[in-house]
Amino acid sequence: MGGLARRVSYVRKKVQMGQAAVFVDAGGFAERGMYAALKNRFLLRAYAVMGYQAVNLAEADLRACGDSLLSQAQAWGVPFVTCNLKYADGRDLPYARRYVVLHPWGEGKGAVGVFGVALQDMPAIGRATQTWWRKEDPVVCAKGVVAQLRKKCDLIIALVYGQDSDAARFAKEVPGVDVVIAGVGTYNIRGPESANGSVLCVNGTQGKYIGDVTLEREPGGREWKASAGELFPLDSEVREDPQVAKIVEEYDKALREELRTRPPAP
Amino acid sequence: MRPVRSAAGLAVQLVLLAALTLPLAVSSSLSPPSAAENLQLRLLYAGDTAGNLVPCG
Repeated sequence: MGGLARRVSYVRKKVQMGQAAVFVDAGGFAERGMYAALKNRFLLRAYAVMGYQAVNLAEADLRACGDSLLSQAQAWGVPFVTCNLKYADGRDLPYARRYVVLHPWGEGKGAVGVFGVALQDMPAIGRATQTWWRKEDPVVCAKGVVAQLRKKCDLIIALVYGQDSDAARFAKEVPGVDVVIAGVGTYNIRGPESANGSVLCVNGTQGKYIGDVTLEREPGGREWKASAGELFPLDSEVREDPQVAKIVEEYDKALREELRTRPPAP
Repeated sequence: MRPVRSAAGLAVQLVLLAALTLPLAVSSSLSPPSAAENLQLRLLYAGDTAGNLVPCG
């Protein structure tokens, strides 16, 4: 959890006043296992104050957090997006939007559309075969969203939960997406690189790095290119944001109490 | 502009200056981005914070 305080601190320090910027998460934030419920609750409390503009939902997040916590997190201010995860009966998840439209250059000065898509689920360890949600075809859903966003946005960003090879294929199958951000694995870093007409960025590092890419569209052009980019390590060199650090501290205290009252089985 | 020699002259010049610069300021804040404009965006991103999806194969 400590990396969260550094993540937000990096964003607040690096983005200069008035600079057009967007801060997003490709999903896969929730943990499973013993004591995970406590951690996920505090993690989402932190996410709510970190200044995210879109947070993608993975199936793993639905499974680990449950409907109730995700509803609560949305009320706290976490801007969830998904275009292909729904309730099993086909209803939309009330705490997630299909996409968000942002105006980083100021109102009336162009728009960025950000949508989320779940491509892959986590490994099937003890997974129930019946779930309370269902995953619809990511390509069909994404094409529908892109058709809507193209009418009103200068830049379209897809937040993808899936392997980088699948994310690259997704870029090919869904034309019109300018940037694909994928988050996978424990140490999987790629990009920014050109992939099937999109800029592909992969940051699967369990939150140990933050991706920082400058996108540029040349005058007269339609295509966006990454003019600079790096994955920055969130080590002890990065100061912790005090607001998020306080939440992490509260979590540590709550975990110690939980361990005292409900110790792990020997 | 010529150097001013009176308060009235200064007032007239200030009004003229405001008239010249105000439309520029308003138009730059309201104009939509055109294809001719160079747009830049800083994109900050994270993913798989929990590390649930382990790459296989």
